[in-house]
Amino acid sequence: MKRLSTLSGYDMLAIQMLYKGAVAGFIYPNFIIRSTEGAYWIPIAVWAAGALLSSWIFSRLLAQLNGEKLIAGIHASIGGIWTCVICLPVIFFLLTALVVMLRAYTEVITMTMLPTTPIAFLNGMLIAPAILALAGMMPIVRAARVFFLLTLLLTLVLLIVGLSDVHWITGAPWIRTNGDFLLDKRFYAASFIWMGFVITSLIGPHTRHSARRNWKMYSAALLCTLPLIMGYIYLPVMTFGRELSKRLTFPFISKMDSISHYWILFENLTAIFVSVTMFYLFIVIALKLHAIGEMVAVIMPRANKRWIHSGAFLVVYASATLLVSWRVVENITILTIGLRLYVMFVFPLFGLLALAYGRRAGKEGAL
Amino acid sequence: MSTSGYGRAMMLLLCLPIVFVAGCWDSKDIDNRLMLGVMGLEKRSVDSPLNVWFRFPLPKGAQDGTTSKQDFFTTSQYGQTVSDAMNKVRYKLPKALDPSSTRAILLDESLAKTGVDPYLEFAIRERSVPLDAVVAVIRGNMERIFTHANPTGELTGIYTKLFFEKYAGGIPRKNRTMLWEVYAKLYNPLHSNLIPLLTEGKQNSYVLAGNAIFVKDKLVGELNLDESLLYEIFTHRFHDSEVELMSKSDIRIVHNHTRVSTSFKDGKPIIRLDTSLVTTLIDSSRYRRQNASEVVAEFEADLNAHAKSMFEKTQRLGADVFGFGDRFRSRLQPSEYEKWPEMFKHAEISYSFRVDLRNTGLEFLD
Amino acid sequence: MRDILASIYRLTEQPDSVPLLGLLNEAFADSSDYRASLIGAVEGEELYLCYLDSLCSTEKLEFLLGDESGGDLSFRLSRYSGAGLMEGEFQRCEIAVCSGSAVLCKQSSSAGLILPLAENQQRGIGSPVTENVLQGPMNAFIESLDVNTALIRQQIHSSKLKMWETVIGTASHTRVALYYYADAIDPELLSDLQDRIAEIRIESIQDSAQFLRILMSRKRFHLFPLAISTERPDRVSMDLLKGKAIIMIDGSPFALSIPSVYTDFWHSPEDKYVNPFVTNFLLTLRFLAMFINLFLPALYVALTSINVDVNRLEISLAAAASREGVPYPVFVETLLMLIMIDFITEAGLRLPKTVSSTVTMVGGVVLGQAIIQANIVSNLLIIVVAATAITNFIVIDYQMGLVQRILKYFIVAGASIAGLLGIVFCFACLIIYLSCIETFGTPYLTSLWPKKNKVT
Repeated sequence: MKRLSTLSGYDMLAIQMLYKGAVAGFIYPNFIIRSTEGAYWIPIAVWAAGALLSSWIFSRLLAQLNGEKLIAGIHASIGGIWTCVICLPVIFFLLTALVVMLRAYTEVITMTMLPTTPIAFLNGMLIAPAILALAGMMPIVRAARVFFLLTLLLTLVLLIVGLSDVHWITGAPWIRTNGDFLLDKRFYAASFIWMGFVITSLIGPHTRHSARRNWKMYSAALLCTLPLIMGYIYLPVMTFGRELSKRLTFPFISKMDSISHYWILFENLTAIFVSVTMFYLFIVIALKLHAIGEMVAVIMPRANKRWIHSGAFLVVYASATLLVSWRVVENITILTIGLRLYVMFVFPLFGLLALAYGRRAGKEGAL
Repeated sequence: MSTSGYGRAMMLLLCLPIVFVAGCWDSKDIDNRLMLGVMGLEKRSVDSPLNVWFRFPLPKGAQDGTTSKQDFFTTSQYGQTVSDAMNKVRYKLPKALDPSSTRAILLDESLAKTGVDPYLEFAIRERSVPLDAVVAVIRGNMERIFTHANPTGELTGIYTKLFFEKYAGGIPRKNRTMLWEVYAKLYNPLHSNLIPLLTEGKQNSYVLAGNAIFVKDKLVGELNLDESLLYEIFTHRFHDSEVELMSKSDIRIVHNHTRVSTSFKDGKPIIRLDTSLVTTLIDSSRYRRQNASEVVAEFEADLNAHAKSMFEKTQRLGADVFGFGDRFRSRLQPSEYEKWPEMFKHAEISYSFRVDLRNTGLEFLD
Repeated sequence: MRDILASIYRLTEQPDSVPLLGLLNEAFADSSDYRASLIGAVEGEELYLCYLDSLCSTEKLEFLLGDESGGDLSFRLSRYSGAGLMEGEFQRCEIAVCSGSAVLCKQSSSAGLILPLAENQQRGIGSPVTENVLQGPMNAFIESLDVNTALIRQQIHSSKLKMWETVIGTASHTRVALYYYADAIDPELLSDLQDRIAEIRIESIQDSAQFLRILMSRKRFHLFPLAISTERPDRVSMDLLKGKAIIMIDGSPFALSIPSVYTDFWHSPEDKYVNPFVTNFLLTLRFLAMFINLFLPALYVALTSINVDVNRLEISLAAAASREGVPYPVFVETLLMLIMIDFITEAGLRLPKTVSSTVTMVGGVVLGQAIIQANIVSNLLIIVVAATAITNFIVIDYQMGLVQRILKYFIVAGASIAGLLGIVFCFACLIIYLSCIETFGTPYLTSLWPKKNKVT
C-alpha cells in the first residue's frame, strides 16, 4: 500500500485553481484596481510572469529531490540550524497568510451576510480545515477534487451571469499604462495570489518527473485562472466604472449584488459567491496548515504531529481574532511584501544552494 | 480519536454548546420582520429635514383568505439621513424593519433638484438596500402614492418593480434605472444619470412623464417620451419592440442597431451615430393615402427632430447621459476626466438613420 | 466410498484415553434433543449413533434406526447414503454433532465416524426484498452459505472464481466465506482481508453487516457504511469481476462487497441493464434527491430566519404569511416536524404491510392537516418535510438512507446557527469527513473504482 503519494497532474491543476479562487475574490481586486490608472491586465501579467519564474526556480529545486520532501531534503543536506534559519521566514509567511486569509474572509461575512455574528465565532470555522490538515495530504487532495468540481461549476456560472450589464467601453484604457503601478505598494502586496506553487512545493514528496509535471500543470492552471482573475477585476469595473470600483472594498461582491434577472432563482448572488469562496478557502487553509505542520515536524522531529497542528491552529485563530480592523488586515498584506518576495525567489535559491552543498559534502564524505 | 464510547461522548459534549448557539445572532424569523417594499425620499425645501416614506407589504394571512384587508402598511419618518429615519421609524414598529428586499426607491423631484448623493450612500456602504432596487423620480404628492392601494392589485413594491421590468410592464421608454447605476454614474464624470420621471396618476399610482436628466447628483432637466426612445436606441438599451406614433400611421420598431464612432479633433470630441432600424407598419391613416417611402420619410423626419432636440438639451446642460464619455477613456488622461462635461457641451454630434420597412402587416399598403 | 464397516473395524481403542461416547454424553448432557442410540454390535462391542435430533435428517437416519428395516447391521450400514465419512476425535466429533452430523462410535473407542447427515432448515430461493428491480435477475441469496455459493457460481462459470472459507466465533462457529475473482482482485487487499478476518476474536456472529462492523472495529467510529450489503447474486458477480472481494457468512442472506466507495452506494444493479442515458438520468435524479433530502429543511431554516434577502420578496411574504401565528422559532418548528416525519417513517417500516398504510395515512394526512390548523407549524414546512421524506426513499442503499436521515439534522443545526453559510460549512465538513475515510486501503471518495491489474 505504500505508493509514492505525489500529486497527479489533475490534482495539481485543481489545487492551484482553488488557490487562486480563494485569494483572488476579495482583497485582490481592490489592490489591483487602486494600484494603477492604466490597464489592469498589465500588472496582472507582470505578476503572472513573476509567478512563472518563481515556480520555475522551485521546479528546478524540486527536480533535485528523489522522492523526498523538500524541507526534509534541505535538512539532510545542511543540518538543523541552517534549515531553521532559511525556513523560519517561510513559516512566518504561511502564518501571516493564514491569518490574513481567515480574517479577510470572516470580515467579508460580517460585512455581507451575518453582520452581528462575532468574528471570534466565525473564525472557529478554522477547525474544519485544521482537522483536514491533520488528516494528511491525500485527504486534502481528495477533498480538493470534490471542491474543485463544485466551485468550478458555480464560479463559472457566477462569472457568466456577471457578464450582464457589462459595458466593454468602461473597461478602457485597455492598452495604456504609465508604469505607475511599479511604484505602488499595493501592486507588490497583490503578490499573495501568485504563491500557489510555493505551497504545493512545501508538501509532499517530489521527484524529477513530478517536479516537471507540476510546473507544467501550474502553468496550465495559471492560464485557466487568468479569465477568473480578470473576471473578478474587470466585471465590476465594466459595470460600475473605474471611479466607483476604486471606492468599493469588495468590487466583485457589489457586482454580484447588482445582478438581477427574472430567471435567477436566488435574489442574492453574493450569498452564493461567499459560500463558494468558503470551499476554496478550506482547501487552501488546510494546505497551508499542513505545510506548516510538515515543516515544523522536520525541524522538531520529536514533536507530536497533533500538537504541532493544534499549536498552529491556536496561533492563527488567536491572531485572526485579535486583529482590530480591516485596515490592519490590509496593512499586514502590505507589510509582508518582503517576506513573500523572499519565499518566492530567494528561498528556492537557498534551497538549490543547500542541496548542492549537501551533494558535495556527500561526495567528499564518500571519497 | 479513541474508539471508546468515552471519546465519542466527549465529542458530543463538545458539540452540544454549539447547538445552543443556534439563533443567537442575525436570526430573526421571517414573520417577525416587516419587509420593506418601497422607500420614498422626500424633501420639501432645502432646509427642511428629509422625510422618508416606507411602504410595507403585509403577508396575506393563511387563515382568512379574504382580500378585503388592506395588504400594505405605510408610514413616514423625518430624519437627517435615510439611516437616521430608518432608526427612528423602528420606534414605531412592532416587528423588525428589514430593508433587504426593497424593490424601489422613489425620489422626490425637489429632493432630486437639491442633490441626491448624501442620501444614497448608505445603500452601498451598509448593503442594507439591495443594489438592484429600481430608482425613479416622483413629481407630485408622494403621500398619495404611498397611502393609496394599487388599483391593479399587485403587492406593493412589486408593483413599482413590475412597472419597469422588461418581463412585465417595462417598455423601452421607461428606462429602468437601478440603484447601482445611479450610484456608479454619480462617481463617473464621463456619464450622467438619466432617471425615469413619474407623475402622480389620477386613477393609477403614477404615470411615466419622461426621464430626468441629472448633472452630478442634481436634477437639471428632462427628456420627453419620444426623446427617451431615441436615448434608448442610441445607448443600446432598446431591446423590445416599441410603437412609434406618427401623425398618419403607426410604426413598430422591431429591430435596431446603432454604431457609435468617436474621434477626437483639436480637443473637440466628434461623435457619429449610425442607426439602422427595422420596422413594420401596424396602422395606416385611412384619410390620406401614403406609400411606403412616404411613411419611412416621415418617420425619419420625426426621428431627426427628436434627436436634434434631445442633443441640444443635453449638450446645453453638459449632461452626457449617453455615456459617450466612456468611449474617450483611452484618449483622455485620467486627470482630464473631470473636464468631460465641458467638452461634451462643444462636442460635434452627428447622426443618421436608415429605416427599413420590413412589412406592412397582413395587409398591403397600396 | 470407503466401506463403512471396514472403517468401524479400524476405530481404535486407546486404553489410556476416555472413550468418545462418554465424552459426548457428558458434553451434551442437558440437551434434550441429543440422542445416543444403540444400533447394534460389532465384534461384541456395542455400536452407538450420537446425533442431535433437531439437526440430523431423520430420513437419512432411517437406515440405521428404522425398526422395520431389520436385517443385519452390516447390511443396514451398507445402505448409508451420506456424502463421505470421516474419522475424528472428540473435538471434531463435538463440532460435527453441533452442525448436524451423526457420530458412529464403539462404546470404548476414542474416535468415531462422522456421518454428514445434516439437514439445514432453510427457505427456498425467493426474490430480493430490499433491492427490488423491475427488470433483471429475480433471485436472491438465502441464509444458507452453500446455496449462496451455488448462486454465485451459477453467475460466474470460471475456475478463476475463488472461495476462501474460515470459521469464526468461539460459540457460534459460523462459516465465513470470502469470494474473489483471481484475475481482478488486488492481492494486497486479499491478504489484508484474510489477516483481518483471522484476527477476529468473537463469541458469535449473526449477520454480515455486523461482521463488517467487527472487521472495521479497530479503526475509529464510522458514520457511513463502508461496504455494500446486497442480496442479489447478479450484483455480487458484477462486483467480483470489478475486482472486489465478497464476504458472506452462513446464516445471512446479505453479501458484503469490499471495498465499496461512496458512489457505489448510488448505483442500483438495474443501472447496468437499461439504456445508459436512462442510467445517467436516474443517477442525476438520485443525487438531486440526495441534495434535496440533505439541504431542503436546512434551506427552509436559513431562508426564513437568517438569509431572508436571498429569496424574492414574493416568497418571503408567502413564507411570512404561512408562519403567521406560529409561536415557535423556525428552528424548533422544523426540528419538531422532522422528528415527527421520522416517527411516521419508522412506524410504517416496522409494522405489517396492512397496518403500515393506515399509519402513513393517519400520520401523513391527518396529522399534517391538524398540525397546520392548530398553528403549530407553517404549511410551507409541511411541503418541505414531505419532500424531504420522499427524497429519502430514493436512496438506493438502506444504510446510506439511514445515515442521510441523521445528517439532515446536523445540517439543520448548521443552518440555524449561521444560515446559508452554516449549511455550506456543514456540507464542507461532510466532504472533509468523507475524504478522510478509507475503506480497506481505498479512499472512500474515489469517483471510480480503478480497473487495476487487468494487465498481468
